[in-house]
Amino acid sequence: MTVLLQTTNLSKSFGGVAALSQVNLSIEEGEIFSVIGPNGAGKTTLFNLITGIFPPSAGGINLRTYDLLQTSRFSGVPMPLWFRRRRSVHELTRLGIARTFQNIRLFPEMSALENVMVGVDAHSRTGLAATLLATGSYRRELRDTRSRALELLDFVGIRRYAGELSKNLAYGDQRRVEIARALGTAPQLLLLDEPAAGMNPAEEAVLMQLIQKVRGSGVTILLIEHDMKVVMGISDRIAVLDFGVKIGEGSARDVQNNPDVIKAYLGSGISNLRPRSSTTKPISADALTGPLLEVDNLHVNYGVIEAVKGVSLRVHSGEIVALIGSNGAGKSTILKTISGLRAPRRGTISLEGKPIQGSPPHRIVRLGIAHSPEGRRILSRMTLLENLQLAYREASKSRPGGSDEQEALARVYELFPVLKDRAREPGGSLSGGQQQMLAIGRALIAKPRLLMLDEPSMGLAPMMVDRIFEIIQSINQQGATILLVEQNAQMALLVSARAYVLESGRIVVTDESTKLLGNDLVRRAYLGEALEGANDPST
Amino acid sequence: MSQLLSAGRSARVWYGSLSRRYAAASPLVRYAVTLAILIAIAAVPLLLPSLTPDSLYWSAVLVKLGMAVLLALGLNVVVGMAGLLDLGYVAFFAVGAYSFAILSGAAKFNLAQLNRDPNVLALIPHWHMYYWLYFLVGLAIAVVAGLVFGAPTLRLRGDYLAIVTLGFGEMVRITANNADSITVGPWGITQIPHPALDIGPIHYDFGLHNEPYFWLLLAIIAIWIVFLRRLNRSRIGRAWMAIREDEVAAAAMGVRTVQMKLMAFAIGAAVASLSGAIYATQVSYVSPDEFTLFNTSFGSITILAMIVLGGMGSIAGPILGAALVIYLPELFRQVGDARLLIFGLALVVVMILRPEGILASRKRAAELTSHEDHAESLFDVREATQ
Repeated sequence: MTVLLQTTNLSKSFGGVAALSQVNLSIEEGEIFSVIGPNGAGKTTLFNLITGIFPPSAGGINLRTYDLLQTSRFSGVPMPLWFRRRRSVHELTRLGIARTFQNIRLFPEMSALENVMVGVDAHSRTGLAATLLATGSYRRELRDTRSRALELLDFVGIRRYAGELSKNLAYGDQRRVEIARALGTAPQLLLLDEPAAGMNPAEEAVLMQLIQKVRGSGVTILLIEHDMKVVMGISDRIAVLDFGVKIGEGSARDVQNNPDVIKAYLGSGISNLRPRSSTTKPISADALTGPLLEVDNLHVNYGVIEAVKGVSLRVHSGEIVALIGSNGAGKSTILKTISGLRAPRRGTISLEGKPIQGSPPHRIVRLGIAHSPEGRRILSRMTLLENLQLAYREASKSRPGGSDEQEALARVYELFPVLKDRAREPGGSLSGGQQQMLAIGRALIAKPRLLMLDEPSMGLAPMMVDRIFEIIQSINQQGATILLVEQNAQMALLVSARAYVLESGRIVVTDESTKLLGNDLVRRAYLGEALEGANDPST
Repeated sequence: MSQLLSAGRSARVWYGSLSRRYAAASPLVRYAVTLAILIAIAAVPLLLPSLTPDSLYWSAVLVKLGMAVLLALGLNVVVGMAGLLDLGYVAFFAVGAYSFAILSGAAKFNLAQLNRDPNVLALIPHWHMYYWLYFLVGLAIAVVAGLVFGAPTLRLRGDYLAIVTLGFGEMVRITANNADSITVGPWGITQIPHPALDIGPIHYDFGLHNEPYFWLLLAIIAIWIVFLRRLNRSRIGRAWMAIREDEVAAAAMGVRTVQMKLMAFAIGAAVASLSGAIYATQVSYVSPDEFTLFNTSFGSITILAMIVLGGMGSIAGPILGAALVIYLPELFRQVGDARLLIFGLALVVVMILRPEGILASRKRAAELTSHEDHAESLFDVREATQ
């Protein structure tokens, strides 16, 4: 085995905070190497250094014999240090490093095929003159690029969507286009940044097969992933980062048995969550007054595609209600429609019996419905404090900086102490987990009557997931009513009182969560189609 | 209003089905259809006298339209395809016009006039066949100008780029105004020679006719459309679109972002300079006042309005936009100064009804499935293999 990628004492600090310090990794040719670590451990920073998005503060990176950080200003001519330059991102791609992004970054207005063709173009040579004159080599290259891109779409199993605009593809398919696009650049090393984020178990299984298949085609893989099932299932070796320091490395078993790793990463390993028995469900006076939120026969379209097809649901005050289902089932769309971000085509949404559908989002917020959207959507150039203040002032209309506001901030900081320390920092500089806490804190700061959380655990380390769900339970016990959309169905069912299971825009099952938990029928309804697909990645 | 909308919708459907049928036809049919369309358009100025008493006036409008279409199709590369908001595009139109005016000797003549040179009459410029090459020299100068302006600014994004290009656009105009010894300053350059053809027995003087300028523009536009279609499908066009959609992801896929953006800028500049050079020879006069931001035919904002109105990124969109922006103010000419107000209102209404432009380029998928080779197989592959 030869070493493909080597980092030596790689360090990076942002404004005095060390995101990575002295990390040494050597990734061998043909292996699947995973980097894991709690949120904010520096995993994405590592990716950004390897792909040249920004330079390290110290240390080196080598791909085989190439120095990835700098090169001679004149190709091939060795030059003294002061006459060298940084390699640019596109240059690294040509050297054989390709990546996917944590928050899918396809070219939305281009078709799946064109997206992949951009990747294949990395090694195209046709210049401007040849293009304008449509020379033979231009035509040949166009044909080759196209057929190579189709091959790759076939390889990842979505050739049938080649002509679709990538923004119209389902989430899982977008991930696959991203992988195909990266493979188009003919990489030696493929970096996958949380490819399983937001996937259900069946989709994860398909993804794992795909990653194996990519490795089988001769590409070395460097993987960042939170989902332990994926990481332990396919990695040859795993490195563990914590606060920017490598604290362990080895096979899945080595890592699982490494006490440092267990302590730092997996926490106690035992969740404090207990399924709530149906008897503890708070039944308040609303049995008489009717539900807090009532959605009746809701239809929502994206253009001609009907995303929500006649959904009716109720949320009583004091409840946690979960909305679960596979990707593309319409969960997020329902939340967005309730909060006024999308207009329903048909149906009614009422808050305490008063219809609210069609009202603009800012009015709905003031009525007491707060929405923590999927993907956090924090305001990245404003400080954490400003994010919270803005949310509070918009929702409550109370005096800026008044004692009410201080109290509200204190409440959020009590739930998420780490936010207090970073209050003055821009939202964009927070780690993924901190951003998620901010998004939740921002939604609940004005004590909404209904708190809607969209995928609060997405992209979080297991310990953090537990923590988030504990917090969800505790804010509920303090009286908040919660409508929860969650990929992690098990967790959602553990914390919620009732749940609706959604499949392709329709509710297929609804019951008390304890009864749905472990219900085979539900599991099949929820995972059914996808599981069949898992056996055959080409469909 | 709803009738207008539905009429618009059915027109778009009709246009869409036409272009699909065109794409599906055999190459021979396509060439024949293209040629027929070109001949029909070329015949328009000849037919005008039998259509309207103001034929001279309307044929002048046609020439203006030709220049505007060329500008719109050039700016479309920069803004529509590469996504670089350029608010100083008229600068390259000015560079083309001024380059030609200076190269042709007209500037020298005007300076001699101002200096009361006794030999001034000997300096009156006349057209020579090699003057045609000056169009290309002007184009080269514009490309250099595009690179010079582009290199420092293209590292900026979005609003910042827009502001800096706005500044560059004004700089060119102000330079033309102040560099008296080269550009004759605010007096402008007069006596720019009209083109002529002089090949063996053929002798044809463009003079004050409108038709030959229109045909010249039509030929350039036709060639440019062919080039645009090739660019669109090439790695260069894809790189531009990728940059427009997500620059970081584009770089991560190996796109040389700076190089590609410079290329878009330079190509846009080249096209604008051709339009500018033809403008200079037709009007026979250039002055800094023509090249303002809000000039109602060729101002940077006006050209931008054409492509936004017609639909960015497509080819038909900017042409339609240019036609509307040139034609509508002429239509309202009898209401005097209020015409621009009416025109502005019309623009606002269109943008409210159809914010993505009238003929937006959102059928990329359809384009892919129709006129590329073995395209039909795209969707049949699965059925065939099962």
